[in-house]
Amino acid sequence: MNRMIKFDHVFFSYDREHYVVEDLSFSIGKGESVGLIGANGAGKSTIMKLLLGLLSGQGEILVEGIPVEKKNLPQIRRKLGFVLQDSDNQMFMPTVYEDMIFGPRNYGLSKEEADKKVDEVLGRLGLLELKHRYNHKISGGEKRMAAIATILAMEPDAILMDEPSTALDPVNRRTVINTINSLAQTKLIASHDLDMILDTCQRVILLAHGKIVADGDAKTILQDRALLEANRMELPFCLQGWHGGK
Amino acid sequence: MDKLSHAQSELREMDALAAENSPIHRIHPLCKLLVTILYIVVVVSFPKYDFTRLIVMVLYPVLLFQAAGIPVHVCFYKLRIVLPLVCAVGLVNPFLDHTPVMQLGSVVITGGVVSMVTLMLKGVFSLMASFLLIATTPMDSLCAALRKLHVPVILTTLLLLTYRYIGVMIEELSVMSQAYSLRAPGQKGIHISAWGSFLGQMLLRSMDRGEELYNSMMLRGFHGDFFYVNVPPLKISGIVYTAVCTGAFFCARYFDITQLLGSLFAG
Repeated sequence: MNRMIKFDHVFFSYDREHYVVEDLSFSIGKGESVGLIGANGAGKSTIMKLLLGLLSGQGEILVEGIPVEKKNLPQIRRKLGFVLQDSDNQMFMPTVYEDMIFGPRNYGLSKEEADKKVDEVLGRLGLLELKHRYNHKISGGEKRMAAIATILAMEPDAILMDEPSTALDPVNRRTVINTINSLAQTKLIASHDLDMILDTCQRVILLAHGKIVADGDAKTILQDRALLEANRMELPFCLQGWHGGK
Repeated sequence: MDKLSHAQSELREMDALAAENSPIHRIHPLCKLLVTILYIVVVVSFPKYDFTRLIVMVLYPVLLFQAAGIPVHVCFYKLRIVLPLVCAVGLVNPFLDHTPVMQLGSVVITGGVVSMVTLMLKGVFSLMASFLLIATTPMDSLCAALRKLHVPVILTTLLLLTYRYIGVMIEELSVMSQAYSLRAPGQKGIHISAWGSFLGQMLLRSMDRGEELYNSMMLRGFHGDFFYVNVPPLKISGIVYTAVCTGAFFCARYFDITQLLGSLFAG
């Protein structure tokens, strides 16, 4: 399998005293779907930011063999699409269409090409009716789907998602999960929603205090109650069994 | 609805107004911008005692409001905060200028009163024209027009993002104010002792959101300038509109149209 992302002995600290990410090494192959899990402050979002070049630490980070360095950032960011936790920060243009066209136009596509891309992505996700809607007038679920669409319109090679299922009702959450599963790109998903991780990822990296505690098959790690509880997590609800109730 | 939510909905109403599809909305934003600037310049250039000739300038905003399908009272309602301030500008004139210029029955009208009325009209007309512009032109089209006039990109981007994020700021402020009022029942407004921390929190939240937004833009290839997508092509109608308005403004400025109309009707 070709390597898409590689972290090689990466360290990062905000205050030069405590490492948020400490001696982190892992790699992700092309087309892999990887869940990044861990308690609050484990370093999930920091890893995403390091990968996108929004933070810089020590060690080597490669995206398709290209080092994440200032001079390479436009090239790296062209390859990686990042779905933010808060869709309001992602959807900053007035309408869904304008937001979707923002990335492709910045990357040099003509208006016609970008329009075609927008229609194709919205059609694929079944969101064509959202195209000319105002961002402030669409629901939270629609906004999250539209945020994913804005990223897909850029045709990234890998998609990074920070808590994609937060604040969604069950139906919208299921729609997002189905959409994630339909994407062929490499996926790195940071989340506390272990049920969603189980549904979308084949591999899980469990973090604690900036270090990898476990890295392997999602089902194996997410069934390990002792491991999860030792790292301030719980078994996914779907694996907890039916205890009955009124 | 509290004051902040009301402010937010008013802001969105402006977006909705600008997104309508009337003949005025369809005119190229650059034409509308140039005509508005010219209108304000012409209005301001009228001599201070010439309010009878100035009055004819009201026709431009009033007629265009009709053509755009926007009731004039909406303009006055939206401008209710600034209109009194504009009107207050000339209030000292009657005390400074006592030269009698006309007599209505036994009442002597002084130059100060006339110049005060002229100043007020100038302010009100300019505000009406500005409102007409923003009520018929989306903000990004307006910024695109400014870019065509070679206004620096940093200013247009700042204008666009400020306009866009006033709503987000109001939202944040509304959440904070609700959280405060729920823990301070019976208290009207925010107590002065909490103003400092309130503003500090507001600043920190704004910085956080600003950073997130900036990151989001950078990650999608933003390099300093927006691609404006809402700009209609420059058509012959836009050029005709600009030419007709320019001609009309200069006629109003250099000929006494009020007197002309008066003599036409009075014979």
